[in-house]
Amino acid sequence: MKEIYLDNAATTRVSQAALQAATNAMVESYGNPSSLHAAGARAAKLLKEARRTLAGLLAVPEKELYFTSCGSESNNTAVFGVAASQARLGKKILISAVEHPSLSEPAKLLAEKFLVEKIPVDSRGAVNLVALEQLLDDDVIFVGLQYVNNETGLIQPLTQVGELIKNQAPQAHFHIDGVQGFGKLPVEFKKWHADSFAASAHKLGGLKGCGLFWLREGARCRPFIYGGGQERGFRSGTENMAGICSFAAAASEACNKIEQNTALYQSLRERLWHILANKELGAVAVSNFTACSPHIANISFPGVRSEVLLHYLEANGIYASSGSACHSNKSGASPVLMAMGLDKAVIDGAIRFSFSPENTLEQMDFVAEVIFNSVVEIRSLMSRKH
Amino acid sequence: MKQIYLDHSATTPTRPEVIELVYDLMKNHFGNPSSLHQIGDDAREYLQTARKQLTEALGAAETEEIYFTSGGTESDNLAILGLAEKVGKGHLMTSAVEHHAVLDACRYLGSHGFDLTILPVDQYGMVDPDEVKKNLRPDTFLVSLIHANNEVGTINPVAEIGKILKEAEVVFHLDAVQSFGKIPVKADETLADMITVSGHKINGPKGIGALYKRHDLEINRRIFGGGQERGLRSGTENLTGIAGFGLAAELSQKEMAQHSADWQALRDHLVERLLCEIPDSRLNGHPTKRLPHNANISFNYIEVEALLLHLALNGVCCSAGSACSSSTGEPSHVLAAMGLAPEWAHGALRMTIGMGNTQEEIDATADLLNKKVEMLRLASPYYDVKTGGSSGLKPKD
Repeated sequence: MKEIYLDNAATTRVSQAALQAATNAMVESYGNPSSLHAAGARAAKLLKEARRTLAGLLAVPEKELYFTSCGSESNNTAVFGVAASQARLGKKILISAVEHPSLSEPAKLLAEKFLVEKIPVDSRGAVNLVALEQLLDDDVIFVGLQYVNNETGLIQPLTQVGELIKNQAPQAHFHIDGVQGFGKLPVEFKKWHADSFAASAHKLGGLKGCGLFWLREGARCRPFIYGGGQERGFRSGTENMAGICSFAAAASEACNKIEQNTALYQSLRERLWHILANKELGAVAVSNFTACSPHIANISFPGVRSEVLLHYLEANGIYASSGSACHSNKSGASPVLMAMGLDKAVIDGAIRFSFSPENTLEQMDFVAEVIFNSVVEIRSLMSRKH
Repeated sequence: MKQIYLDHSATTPTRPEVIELVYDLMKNHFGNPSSLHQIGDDAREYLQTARKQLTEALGAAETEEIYFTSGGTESDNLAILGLAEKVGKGHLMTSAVEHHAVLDACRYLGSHGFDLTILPVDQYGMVDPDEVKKNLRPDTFLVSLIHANNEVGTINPVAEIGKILKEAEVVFHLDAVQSFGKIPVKADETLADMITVSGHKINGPKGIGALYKRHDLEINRRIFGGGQERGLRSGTENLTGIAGFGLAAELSQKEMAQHSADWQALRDHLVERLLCEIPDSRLNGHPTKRLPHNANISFNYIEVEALLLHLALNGVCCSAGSACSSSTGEPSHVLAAMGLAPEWAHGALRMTIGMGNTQEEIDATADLLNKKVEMLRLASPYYDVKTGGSSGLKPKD
């Protein structure tokens, strides 16, 4: 049976370029970049090249980029670091109601000492700009927002948010969780008036265990991990060379093909939805396609629990998920879909399909067929039971 | 020019078995261990295998006591800051010769409401168990010590200290980044409650470490999010790093007796040659209670940076102290704490032996050092004074 992997928002296959870069780092340049000898210098050169590549893709100076161990660490660094260094300026921390736990959990912890408020979202999952405007005042020190939602693909209106922050709360630090957006959509830090940005290698074809944190020069953020003073003293620990090199290679590949991949994802999503919508399954598009990044399509089959349907899909070699992988070990409905105000039946039947450049239109035909047959079968089994 | 790598305490070449495994994972097993489908299950199996390998290597009671992190530095930070945040206030101790990952985390606490005692060390860099006992207070909640020093290789009497701390019911954190894979590092023998280890010091990948934490000890998490590593450390698991680390740990335990004997023979030969052949040289650290692969030797009248440059130009890779502080140019805090006079501290060279080093390489290094130390001394004004201004004619007094 051929595998069809449609869970690329959870993690991606390692790209050929990333695989080569990581192997090269392990085999040829095993030195410690901090060492002053030839072996160290070779590693330091690779590190510098990787930083230059990623800085180029983000259009920022190299010195503003810091490598971390993952997107979660980058988000934690932003929340804890900014709160610690800006505590004297104010007490208010704003995040949206649909953030990844690596942003919302640290914020929750800070609620002991700060006033943490959640920006409400509309039915698409986009932040309510009117509500945000009311929340923004001179007491706000931090605003944290996703670029692209990990469950629905929704693209937040960062430009409008950035403008609002600049006008209403210029002292506030604007952090963007770009884990799902980087490599899929263009980044425009200046236009967004952003102060920091988190990204992760394994969401775009790099290795797991490597992330990056961009911090605008002049923005204040206390370091999170102390020690040997790597990353210009901001993030200690011997550098994950294989991870970092894989990140640069994979990100180049992804960023250089954004247009091409976007067109592919759009056609995949359209094909899948077109068939499903015509099959009279009562399918609901949880992702608002005009507002979402096309690499994620969240579609619900109300009345059919997503776990059940996922088993049918898996039996046919199709891999998707019911929400974020980080949540999948826990019970309970998705907080993201709840914040969007969806019906319980829609939430319980929601499946996230997320694409990679390897997916094809033929796969979508097969997936739609399997879904149709499975949903029909599950529903008839359920009606017999009743 | 052939390279001679004698800097295995800075980092080690990734061994072929590990490269092969990492390569296979990159190519064929890319799942997210949190995913509930088969591709996630497949990834999770590699995670469990590695956790078992670390459990065994560290003599932990159960696999649940092993937490994967991004490296030794993060493990040290997690152990120290995580416990301190759980406890809230009180007194902690560390020593003056710790790695900066421990020292800086402790100092951070020292300046944020906690009381910090930095224990002195003896001339070899060793902590005296009596000093630990003497400085214990009713509110002492943590003692964090290096198992074997990263610069001079001196091994602390950890079993003895562990016993004292167990009786006093004080948590004992052991930074075993350098000792792991060289000498036994066992939770039950050291009586440590937490142990830090790192992948890239044992021929595993960089960017991966682990923290052993006794099952009934509670500490606060530091990275919040998806709840990986039983909630203690969020973030999608570094699958290739973890699997590679697990394998490297298992192999290092299997090969430890043989490697230690081999490395010690090479090290002893190197030390003997240098001390005999080069005047005004001395061994730093304990003569016997030291890691088998570590040679730290000072050459008086030498600035080690100049020596390192000449060694590097001839393909020999070693270091002045730890790699982490090599770019700061500051004298080693370890040698200073040992009371080493500045003229000796400035000329301290660390050579650390590892997989693949040969007797020929060691002899070639000793030959080169003979030549280069003499050459640099001839150019040194201090050496000139010592030899009565005749150093150009009579370099070897």
